[in-house]
This record gives sequence, C-alpha cells and structure tokens, in this order.
Amino acid sequence: MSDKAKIRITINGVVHEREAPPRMLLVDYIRDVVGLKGTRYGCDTSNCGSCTIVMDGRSAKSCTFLAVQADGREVTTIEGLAEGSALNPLQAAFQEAHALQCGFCTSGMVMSAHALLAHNPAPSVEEIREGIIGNLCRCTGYVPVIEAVQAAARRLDPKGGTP
Amino acid sequence: MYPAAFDYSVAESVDHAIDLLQRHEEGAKLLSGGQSLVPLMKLRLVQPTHVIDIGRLGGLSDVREDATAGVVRIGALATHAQVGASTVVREKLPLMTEAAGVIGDAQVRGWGTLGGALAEADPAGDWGPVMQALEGRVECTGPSGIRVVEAASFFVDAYTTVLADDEMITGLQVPVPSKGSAGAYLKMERRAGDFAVASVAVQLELDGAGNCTKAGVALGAAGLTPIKAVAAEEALRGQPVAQETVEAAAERVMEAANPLADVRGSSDYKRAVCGALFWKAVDMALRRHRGETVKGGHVR
Amino acid sequence: MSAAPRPPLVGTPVPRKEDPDILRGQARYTFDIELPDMLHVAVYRSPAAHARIRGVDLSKALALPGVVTGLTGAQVRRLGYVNPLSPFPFQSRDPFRRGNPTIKFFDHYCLAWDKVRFVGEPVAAVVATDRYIAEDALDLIEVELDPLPPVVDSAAALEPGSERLYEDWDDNVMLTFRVSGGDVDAAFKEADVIVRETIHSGRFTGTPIETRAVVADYDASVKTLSLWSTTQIGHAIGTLVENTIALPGLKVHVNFRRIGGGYGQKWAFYPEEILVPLLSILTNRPMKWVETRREHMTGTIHAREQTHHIEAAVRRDGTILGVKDRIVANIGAAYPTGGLASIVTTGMFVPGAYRIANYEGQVQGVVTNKTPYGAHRGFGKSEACFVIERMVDRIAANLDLDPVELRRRNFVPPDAFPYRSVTGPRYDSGRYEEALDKALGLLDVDHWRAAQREAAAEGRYLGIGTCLVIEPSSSTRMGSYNAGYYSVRMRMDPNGKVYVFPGGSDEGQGHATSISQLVGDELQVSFDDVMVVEGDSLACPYGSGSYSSRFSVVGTTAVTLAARALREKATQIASVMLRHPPGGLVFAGGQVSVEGRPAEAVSLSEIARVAYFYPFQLPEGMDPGLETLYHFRDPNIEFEADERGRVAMFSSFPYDAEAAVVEVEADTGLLKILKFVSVHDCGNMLNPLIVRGQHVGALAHGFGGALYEELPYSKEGQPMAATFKDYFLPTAMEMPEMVLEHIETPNPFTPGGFKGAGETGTVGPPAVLANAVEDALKPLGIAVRRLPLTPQYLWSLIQEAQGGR
Ligand SMILES: Cc1cc2nc3c(=O)[nH]c(=O)nc-3n(C[C@H](O)[C@H](O)[C@H](O)COP(=O)(O)OP(=O)(O)OC[C@H]3O[C@@H](n4cnc5c(N)ncnc54)[C@H](O)[C@@H]3O)c2cc1C
Ligand code: FES
Ligand code: FES
Repeated sequence: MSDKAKIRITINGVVHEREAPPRMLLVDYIRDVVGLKGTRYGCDTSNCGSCTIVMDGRSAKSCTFLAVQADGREVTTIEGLAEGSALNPLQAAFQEAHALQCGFCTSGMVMSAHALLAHNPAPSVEEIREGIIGNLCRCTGYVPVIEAVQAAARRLDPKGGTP
Repeated sequence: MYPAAFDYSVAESVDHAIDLLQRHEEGAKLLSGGQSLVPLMKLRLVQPTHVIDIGRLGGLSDVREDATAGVVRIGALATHAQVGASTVVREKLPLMTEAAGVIGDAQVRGWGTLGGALAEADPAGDWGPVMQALEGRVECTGPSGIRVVEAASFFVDAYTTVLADDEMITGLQVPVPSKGSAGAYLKMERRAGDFAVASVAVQLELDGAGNCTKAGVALGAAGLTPIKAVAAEEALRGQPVAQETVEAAAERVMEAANPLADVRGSSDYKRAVCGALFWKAVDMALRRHRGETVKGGHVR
Repeated sequence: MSAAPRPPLVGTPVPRKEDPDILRGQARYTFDIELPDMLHVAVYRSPAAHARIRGVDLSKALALPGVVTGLTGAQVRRLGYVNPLSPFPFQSRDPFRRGNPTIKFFDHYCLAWDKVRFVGEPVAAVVATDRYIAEDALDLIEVELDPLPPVVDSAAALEPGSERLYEDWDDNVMLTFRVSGGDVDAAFKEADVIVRETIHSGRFTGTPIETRAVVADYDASVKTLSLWSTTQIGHAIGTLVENTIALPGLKVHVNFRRIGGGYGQKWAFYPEEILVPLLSILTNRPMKWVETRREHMTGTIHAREQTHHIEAAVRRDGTILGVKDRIVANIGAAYPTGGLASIVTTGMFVPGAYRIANYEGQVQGVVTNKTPYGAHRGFGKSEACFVIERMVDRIAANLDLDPVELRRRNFVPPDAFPYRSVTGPRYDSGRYEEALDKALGLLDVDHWRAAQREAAAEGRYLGIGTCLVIEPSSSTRMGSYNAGYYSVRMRMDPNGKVYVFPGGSDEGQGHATSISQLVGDELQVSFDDVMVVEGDSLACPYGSGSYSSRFSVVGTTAVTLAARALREKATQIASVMLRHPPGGLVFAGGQVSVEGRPAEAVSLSEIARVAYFYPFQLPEGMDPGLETLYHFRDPNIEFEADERGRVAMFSSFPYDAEAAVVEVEADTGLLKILKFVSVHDCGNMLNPLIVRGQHVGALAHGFGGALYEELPYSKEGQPMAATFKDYFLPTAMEMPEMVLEHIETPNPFTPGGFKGAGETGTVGPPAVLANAVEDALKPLGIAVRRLPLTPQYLWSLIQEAQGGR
C-alpha cells in the first residue's frame, strides 16, 4: 500500500518530475519535494487559503489536493509572479497599499487576487471581496488588500478599473 | 494534518471506475474535486484504503439543455463555478445560478463538483435543497447501468445517500420550470464562505391570476438530510400567494425542520431561521415573477 | 555636495522594506526551517477535559517503521534534569510586593503525567522521519484515562463543593486581586441611583494565521541548543528553557526572526518549547514540530472570558460617583502563561476614559477544564472597556439621558492630563470629547436619527451607538521580565551603514521600516542603509519582546536615543578630523561639514573608518568603534503598588472614539453595520501607512470578537470550535465600510510623542456595536449583556422581549 507514484507537475514553467506517495498533499509536494517554501499552510480544514496557488488557470487551495491530482497540470505559485527582480504590478500594489503585515497569508492572498484579475480585469469592490473570502488574514483587516487589488486592476488595465 | 495511507488509481472510464469500486468494495472512495474528501481524509475522519480518481474523466462535465426531455443535463464533474457561469443554467435554472454563487469560496467553487457535493450529502450542503425544490434527478451508474433517482429520495442520512458501494453519480437531470415560474435560494451564513446556518430553496409556478400552480420548497441545514417541505408545498399549491397562505406554509416549513444544534445556532433558532428565510424567499420569488431584479443567495 | 537636511522620513507613509521578500515568496518562517537529518514531532493530546492518567502505552507506535522515539510525561519526570514549566514570566508570586495579587501555581510539566485538565493538553509525543508517519503513530498510542467530573463554568467552579482541578489547592481560585481608590462606600451613600449589571465577555482568541512551530537542534559537541520558535518573547524563552532543562553548561540560542502574527497568543511559554528541545537532546538530532490548526485551537491560549458584577453610583444628572466591580475570569487550566496578568489589568482599567474618583475592583481568576487563558490583543483592557462603555449606556437608559451627554459629563477633561486615575496609572494625554464630537460629526447623527425614525415606522430596528475606549499601552510589571525598559544596540559600520539590533521581535508590525525611518532621520543616512537584525537572542540585547504596543512607545525612544548617542560620537570624531569645534558642525546628507563651508566635510563612512581603523586619531579617552548599547527606561510608570493595589503600570494611553449605525433584523437576529466611524488618537504617527494598517487590522479583530468569534464548550468540557470551520474569523466580506480619522495628541513622555497604535481598534467594536444594538432594540426595552452579538443571541433577546417562544 501507498507505493510511491511518479508525479509530473509544471511549476512556474519548470517541469518537476518526482516520486511521492499518493497521500502526499500538493502543498507538501510544492514545499518539501520541490522546495518552494513561499506557499504556506495555516489550517486543516481548507478554510484559511494560505496555501492558494493557481492550477490550470483556477485558484486552488494546495492543501486540499493530493499531489497526484496535480499530475500533468500547470501550477503557478507566488515565486512565479515577479518578473526578474522586480515585483509585478499586483505585488507592487500590495506593497504600496500596505496590504500585508506579518506576510503569512500574503502568498495565498496574492494568488487569489491574481486569479481574480485574470478572470475579471476590472472587478468591483464587491467582486474583490467575494474573490478573497477564501483567504483569511488576521493582520490587515482586508481593506488595504482590496485597495491593492483595485490599484493593480487600474494599472493592468487602465481602461477598466473599479468604480 | 495528513491523510492515512491508501492505494490510488486513476479511472480511465466510468466502467473502469465502477470496476475498481467493485473490486475494492467498502474501503474504496471516489475522488472528484477532493474539496470534501481531502479535508476529511486529512482529519482522518475518512480513511479509505483505495482512492479512485475520477476527476479527469472526459465527457462528464457538460452542461446542456435537452429540450425534448424538458431538462438541463449536468455532468457529475461540472464544477460549482462552471454551473454558476453557464448561460443555459442562468436562463433555464436561475435558482441554480444563485446557489452556485453561495458555495464556499472561489477556490472551492473552481474545483468542487456537483456530483461530489451530492454524494457527500453534507446536511448543510446547498445543492441538496436546490435539487429537491427543482425536482431534479440524480443519475446513478452501476454495474448494471443507470438508474435515475429523484433528489427527494436520494438522501438517506447525514453523509449517506442511496448510492450503492459500486455506484457513482454520472449526471443530473433538472426539469426546466415553466415560463411563469420564479424562485429564490437563500442561505444564511455566520460569515462568508461558511456552510449554511440554514437555507431555503423556493420555486413557484404562478398562473396569470397570481395563483400558485406548483411549488417546490426545500430546506438545507435543517436536519440530517436536505428536507423537501412537502406539506408547505401543498399549502401553497392552488392558492393565491397571499399573507395567510404564506403564513400557513411557513408553519409547515418550521414543522418540517428538525435542525441539529451546533456553533451556528440552536435547533430552535435554526428552525426560526428556516421560517424567516422562507418568507423572504417567497417574497423574492414573487418580486422576480413581477420582473424585478433582486439579489438573493447570501443572507449574512 | 549639498548638505541640506533632506525631508524627514518620520511622519511620512514610507512603504515597508519588509515587503518585497514576502511578496516574492522568499520570506522564511519557523516552519520553513530545514536541517540535515531532521525528525518530526507529533503530539498526542488529551481528548478528555478532566481525567486521571492511568497509563500511556507507546509500544505500538514505536513499532511503526519510520518512528524513531517517543516520550511520555512519566518519562520526562524520570529524566531527572527536567523541571516543571517555569512560571511565566518568571514572575514573582507577589508582583506588587504586598500580597496582592495572590497567585497559586502548579507544577505542570511539558507532558501531563498525573491528570489531564483540558482537551488539547499534551500527553505524549512521537518522533518520526516524516510528519505523515508521525501522525500515523499518534493513532497507535494507547492512553488509559479515568474520567473525572469536568469543571466548565466559572460560577460552578467557585461553589464550595466543586470538583477541584488541583487537589492540593483549597479551591479553584488561582489569582485574586483587589484595587481601590477614593471612598466607595460614601459614593454609594451619596448616589441618587445605583445601576447594577452583570456583563459577560466571551472566550475568544488571536488565531494568527501562522500556527506555532518549534525547531530545536542540540549540538552535543558544544552543548548548544539552537531553538527556533514562533514567539513574541524569544529572550524570555531562552531563560525559561534554561530554567526548565537543567543541564549544566547548556547554552541556548533562540531565533525568532520572522513571526506570522502573534496578537498575544505567542506571548506565552508553551510546553512544546521544552518538549521539542528535549527530544533533540535525547536523540541528538534536529527536531521540528508544527502545530496543526486543531492543536492550535485547544493547545494555544484563549482569552477574554470574564463575567463582571458591576454597580455604579450615579447622580441624577449623570455624574458617576463611584463604581464597584467584581470580576470573575474563567481562566481554564493553570498553565504558567503569564497572560493571566490581563485580568489584573482589567481590574485596573474599568474606570476607562472617565473621571471616576471612587472605585473598587475585585478580581478572581478561576481555573476550569478549558484551555489556559492568556494574552490577547487588547489585554484585559478590552473587557474593561466593554464593561464601562456598556455601563455608561445602561446608566443613560436608567436616567433617560443621552449616552453621549453622559460621556461628556464624565470624561477626563483635556486640562487634567497627565491624569492620575483612581487605580494609579498616569494617563499621558487625550482630548476625549473632541474625538467623540468628531466621530459624531463624521457619522452625521441627525441623518441617522431621521433614518431611525423612518425605520421604526416600518417596524425595522435601526440604532446608533457610540463609545470612547482607551487602550493603555507599554505595560510594566514588577518582578517580571516585563520590567519597563527597552534595549537596543546600534552600530555604524565602516561603510557608513547602520546596523540596529533591537531587543524585541516583529510579528508583522514593520519594525525594520519604522527603525529605518527613525535612524535615517537622526543619522541622516538613507532608509536603505539601515539594517535591522531582530529576533536573535545572542545577537541582540536582552529584551522583553513584543507586546503591549511597547515598540511604539519605549522601542522607538530607545532607537532614537541610541542613534543620538552615535551621532554625538560621530560628531566628536568629525570635530577632530575637521579641526573644528563640534558646536559649529552640520550633520546632514550622510556627512558632517563645517557650518557655512560645505566643502569642509567628512562622510559618515570616513568618520566610521577612523573610529574602527585609526583609533589613535580619536579624541583622548574615546573608545574605538562606532557602536552603542542603549537602554531606555519608561518614565511614566511605577514599580510598586501602594497598599490599595494602585500602581502606574502602563505608560501611554491611546484611545478611539467610535460611532456606528446598525440595523438588527428581528426575525433572524442578523446585524448589519450601516456606518462605522473611528477617530483614533495614538499620538504622533511615525508612519501613517503603518498606523492605518495596524488600526484597520485591529478593528477587524474587534469586529471578530464583537460579532463572530467564540470558543464555546459543551457541558462535558469539549471545545465546540476546534477548527477554522467552526471558529468564525471574519473575511473580507464581514468588514463594514469605515470612516477613519486620526487626531494627534503627542505623548509628552517620549521624544517622538508616539503612543501604541496596534491594539486600540480591537477594543472599541464590541462596545460600540453592543451600544448600537441596544439603541436599535430600545422599543423592545432589551439590555445587551454579553458578547459576541451573534444572530442567535440577538434573536433570543427579541424573542424574550416579545414574549415569544
Ligand atoms: C472551505 C469549504 C467551504 C465549502 N462550502 C460549501 C458550501 O457553502 N456549500 C456546499 O454545498 N458545499 C460547500 N463545500 C463543499 C464543496 O461543495 C465540495 O466541493 C463538494 O461537497 C464536494 O465536491 P468534490 O467534487 O470536491 O467531491 P470530493 O471531495 O471529491 O468527494 C466528496 C464525496 O463524494 C464522493 N464522490 C465524489 N464524486 C462522486 C461521484 N461522481 N459519484 C459518487 N460519489 C462521488 C467521494 O467519494 C466523497 O465521498 C465547501 C468545501 C470547502 C472546502
Ligand atoms: S492551509 Fe488553510 S486552506 Fe490550505
Ligand atoms: S498579513 Fe498577517 S495574516 Fe495577513
């Protein structure tokens, strides 16, 4: 039982093919097998969203997947956003709006916002709130996060922007 | 927290999945989106010896109208998000669009499936009451083919359905309500993204005179299973939808409810919420019938 | 080269230097630490609230492949060199030196050995090659427990015949404290009216998104224990570990560099901080333990649960003559968590923002079979403010006065500051009435009163609430390591860069940014040239950690004064180099020049090089190097209480005036916040961006405690909210629209004029929302007497008032 399986996941454009037991969670594959520690976890019940990544274009809580379920899929983690040494516009907006404090929730929060903007480049405040309810933050009170996403939306799509 | 060890196979087809189920019997679990199963396995509340991944089966996630049969057919692997975004669903089954929008959060909606949600039979799940109010049917496929089960008789107990050990859900059939119909799905939450404190699905068919010709009423988080409030439906049917009728029906709704106490509320409180949501849902359905645009879904 | 001083950094919204690493996913937290050959620890926790341990059998667990070792409480005691968990914060049993408070302790070890006293208490540990196997092993541990009657309710725990948690105590009271001032009896005799209430604050807690984690690496060859822990008090933890693991010659190095939020929950000494090091010592291998959220919800401290039996003596015009409050806190099991002091703090601050001359507070900390009690953002003041702000509205209702008027009539007036409160603290500064007026103006009371009348006509319930809460910050407590000072070491290196080593820790407050602003201004170096190294017990000076918003008050002051000391020395060296008296030198733009002759200048790095490499050029008697260790002692505190328990133990007094409009739906009890205003005064703002962030975050925390978060227990002592599925942290959707304003009344006791900024927001929402709810339901004549204001609670109040079922 629980022999290792070969799991091939493209993470931030790089193909990783490693062995892991079927029960290994995707978050642990990303963190411990591949070594990308930017994706974090903070609960056991899929509520906090710290582990959020984007998989095949959809935001996903990587603690709520077995790594084998991601076999053959494309994953983007927080490490895959910045362009070179510069922060991408969303990350920069987070810094400017002070949308992070301890930073523990931040990777997941940014990935949720990233997925939201990919589907809806000009979200309303209500849509931004709705887009991040799967991400708990105990530090910021969310208001600066909402402002950051609005600012990023304006920057990414000057015609759009939020009301 | 981490799942206990298990064997894993990827199903290549529905037949293959059923074959695997037969071979592993009680210890086997199907895995669709994993949005219920994986957390339960992490808490070790569920410890399958064999996990059969059906999440990648082709052809099971279509959403399309079958006009001849008068139904919308939804594949078991259609996700909440997909159903929420479907134009067919929006036009033919707006109640389902409303429900799809209140489930969990963006991450859960993007991966959780309707088949998984119904099979999970969480007492506080949203699809159960919605399917019951719409008189939907569940296609259960087993070794000897497909049997179609009414949503009203699909749920047996908390987390238990009529599905046999070697059966899986392959799709849903949801009858398209007549033109003069309107409905509302209301779910009260303690906070966004949570399961329901209680929820009520109402679908009313009204004639030109404003009489109710048909009513679908069902409750979520109001007992061990979703509850089709048949007595309430009867109280409405054939009556003008006026204060006294709704009052009588609301009484029936509260009688039907038998909620479990938890951190979301006591049994009495949740019963009262069922009544209150019912009032709101009927009001909303009537306003929608008159062509008003009103926002349903969350009550929080 | 221009030497004009550049615009100041202090007071401006500089974006944080901490952020880029975090935003790229490069930041490393405790649970990210990987060491060669590391093993993983899982902890078996009591499933029972109260039981005697008959036996713990690890044999099956140890037989599982991949399991390396295990440990039980009985084994820990047999080791011989492990002491009970040292009382935190190595607090003297009599911190105020007058037998008041009285405190009892119990010898808890890192694993329970005789009894278990709460669900979640550590009983045994297993160690395996990975976390999955360690959890498999937990399932194989066999523990035999003899159930004992659970003690859950504090009132029941106080009954004479109650089951005792600690058999050698004569009751279930762990702590008592009395404080009084003025003549309370006379005040009650003089009163026109006496208002009595029983008011309850619910159990709720901080829940940082980062759970706790401990990594320990014992190197036997040098007898050094390297410890990484998610703690707000790393230096104290080092000392406590030394006390508890009594191996002669053991050196302890604690690392606590990046913490994912604390809010007080990481301001405690935890059994795992002994357990994990011990396992590393026993196996000579690095060990890691990462708390699961489920463990966190029961094994990490809770807070706030208090019942107040309060009486106020008032004149008919609303003047509050005197207050008596008997406070019973349900503190769970008697772990040495230290945050228990928060209930003493509650007793101190019930008078709140009001000039109450006669007061008597009696506090009892009652042990029960619940998770131990401790610190939580708002530390005891939150409960005190909830009670007094509720009382003001209850008094107003009794006298048929406007609660706002009542507040005005009783506020400590601006000209009374520094104001010595009836319980001893010296309130530094404040303009309470002005802040409240501003809040009411921003709310637009007239508009909402009209809306309220319209709503009433339609049978809807709209209400307006106000409050003015104080959040005393920068605490000090006699005989504890919390001794009212802050230390910082500062070095300008030969390249002119400034390294700062504060004695605190950062859980997200942005210390590196704030310090860089302060040092940048004082030493005229660039923001990027200030390097902050924090959270290393051997690199940084000993310090008491982060809590009570002390960084803003004593921390910033220590940094400023350290920088000034460096500046003074650099100027003296420059004076020798430029052959010009120090009085005529200009310190600006990264250099020191002669006033009026900008060409005659030396750069800071030139000065530093002289300090390090050419010591013979230094003035007579000056030490080489450009480094200083500075200790700042808080001037606005006292260490010893008087015979009535009065002592000035907090030094700065930020406050918040809040006003809110709510609507309560009668048939569901749902509460909607229609408008929310906060006018916050935390003195001068070092960085307005950070201050706003801290305040909004604290308000969110406050909304959580006011409306959503609760840690209920069943009659059997089983926790009902043991995961994030059942504990309702607010999401983005729960945050109301807010109107936020600041006024700045500087703290006169510190050079920067700053007060604490990060906790006040936690305090107000429970009070202002409860007051608004009561106003909304005024037609029904209900009184709000508990938190949280859940829909069910409001619904049941309405039902009762309507005589419903
Ligand atoms: C944070 C969070 C919030 C949530 N909130 C809500 C909510 O508000 N309302 C709500 O309704 N739900 C909610 N859910 C549950 C969510 O809807 C799940 O997606 C759904 O219940 C399960 O779908 P799945 O595809 O992920 O199923 P899985 O987790 O893969 O499977 C669930 C169960 O169904 C079985 N199963 C799966 N597919 C089939 C099939 N085709 N035939 C037979 N058996 C099958 C599995 O063996 C398993 O027992 C929430 C979940 C999370 C994590
Ligand atoms: S770790 Fe909390 S949702 Fe994934
Ligand atoms: S920034 Fe700390 S939890 Fe979000």
